[in-house]
Amino acid sequence: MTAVAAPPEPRTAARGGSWVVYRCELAKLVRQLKVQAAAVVCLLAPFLFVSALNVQSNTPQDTLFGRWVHDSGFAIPLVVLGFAGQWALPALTSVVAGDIFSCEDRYGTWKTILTRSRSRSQIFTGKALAAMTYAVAMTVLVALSSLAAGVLLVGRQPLIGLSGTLLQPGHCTALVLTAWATVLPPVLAFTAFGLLLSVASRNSAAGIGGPVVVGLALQLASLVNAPEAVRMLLPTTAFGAWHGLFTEPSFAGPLAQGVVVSAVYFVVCVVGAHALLRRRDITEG
Amino acid sequence: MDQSFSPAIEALGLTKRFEETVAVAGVGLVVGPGRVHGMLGPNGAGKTTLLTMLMGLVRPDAGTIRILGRTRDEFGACMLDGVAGFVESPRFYPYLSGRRNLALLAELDGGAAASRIDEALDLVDLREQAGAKVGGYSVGMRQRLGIAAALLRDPRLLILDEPASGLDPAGMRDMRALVARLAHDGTTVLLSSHDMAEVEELCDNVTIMRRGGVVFDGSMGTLRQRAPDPAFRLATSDDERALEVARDAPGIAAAVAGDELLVHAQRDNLDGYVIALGRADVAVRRLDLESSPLEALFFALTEDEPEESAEPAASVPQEATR
Repeated sequence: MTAVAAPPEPRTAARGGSWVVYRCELAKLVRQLKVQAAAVVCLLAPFLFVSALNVQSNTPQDTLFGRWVHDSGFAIPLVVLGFAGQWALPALTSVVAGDIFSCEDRYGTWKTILTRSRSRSQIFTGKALAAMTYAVAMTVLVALSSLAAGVLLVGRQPLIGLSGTLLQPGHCTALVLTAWATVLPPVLAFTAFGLLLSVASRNSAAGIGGPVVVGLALQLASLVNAPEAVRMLLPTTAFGAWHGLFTEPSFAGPLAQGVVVSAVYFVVCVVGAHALLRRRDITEG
Repeated sequence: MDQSFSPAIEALGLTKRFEETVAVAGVGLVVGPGRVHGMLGPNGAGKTTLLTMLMGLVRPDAGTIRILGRTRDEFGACMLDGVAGFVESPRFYPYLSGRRNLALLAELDGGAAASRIDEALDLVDLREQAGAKVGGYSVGMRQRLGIAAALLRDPRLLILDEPASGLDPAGMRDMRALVARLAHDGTTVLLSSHDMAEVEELCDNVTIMRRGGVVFDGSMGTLRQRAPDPAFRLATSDDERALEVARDAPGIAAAVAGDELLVHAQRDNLDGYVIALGRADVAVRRLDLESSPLEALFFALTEDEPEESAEPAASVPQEATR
């Protein structure tokens, strides 16, 4: 299989094509067992986590806010967020992003969809948007589920912030939701990385496993005294940028930095994946 | 350009290399509107690569393609508006039902495609199984679903690669009848096949490929004219006497082939030869068709000749080599 330089696509492809492809991709995703299973896990895992905590006296003290899990329900979504940023969110997003292109190779359906008057750019855009929609939806689901699990199973007690100030329930709710929102940029960066691997490898195992392995490797790199400049450029660093929200005064520098770094990874991966798909000769699949 | 009179397919000088292998070398193909055009060739001849280029799946290294008067440079993916079909076996999402697969494709097609799903399922006799997941379909059912998916687009040009593959005899008969009906209604059909009988039955014109090039391109009538006499295997009670009779019989070329005789003759001449054998007290114990004229021609066109052939094939037509 070879690839040749692709000329610019004419502007005559069917209008609204990306939107049509996006709707089709969402329709396919909601019927996939793995997506249904991921949604169930996102929904139930925080409740199981809190239930497990409630039957033991120990607390995950080595995790930020871990020592408060029995004292404030608002600590629960933050502990879950700390765990999730290490590998769970890259894994969760790559379940779809790493497979959404390579599944067409696996099923042999590229020839089926690329001969229906939709351009490769439209197909790419629709699929990429669907993968991002899934990633955002799952992140929101696990955020709301962990907040609900904490509030329902532990309670709405005030939470002690990282500077020792007491945060009232209303303020806590806003901060927790904001903290979860700050991981969306790195989640989307890992989604884009999954898309790139899915297009480039044409192999779902590589597409799904790759972001998880890379995420763990980057976490490891940030733990072994990597230079600060290198740490700043890692997309995984952005998963911890929310810590500044819980100090007094709060600081947003890492958040802005995380958004920029995530955006760079996102753009590079998406542009690369798009170029690869456009140049590809579909001789199989 | 008045598209009603322009070719449905006009490909000129198409070349495609895969690393060091030249899959298609400077091939041209012109298919007139409303025609059924066959493509024949052994494995590796370049048929599939040519079809994938026509359908925009593979970019040619050189050459131009105009489909229904449109080029990809001018129209992008819309070049395939009015075009349907499949290359190699049709493939679908196995976790979705046949009907759901068609609904997704209809949504991609847009327009009125969704309203044709039931009609398309009826045409390929799949309506009752349409609710089952495609993962459980047989090869023949997937083939029929592929044809249904093509019909959703209400095509003016239908490109089919081995459409009868995997079908049972009744399915093959129905598929051929469907292609004939679509052609009768004005749909242009490009039919790639290994089955000479299928091409002979359905096609007006045929292109025969070998090693990435075209070795014949013309009408079925021209192909028939250039075809050699059919070959028959003949078992008799006295082969030596039968050979003597053959020497005096008009239009008969007979030779010993193992325990039998191999006879090349038109059917009328063969009838006379069999009668002459009876008059010469030679019993005919068996008479089988060894190869049809078109099959014999196809083999002559597409198979490698022996390096030191005593008698080179004299009747190999090369009406068009592009």
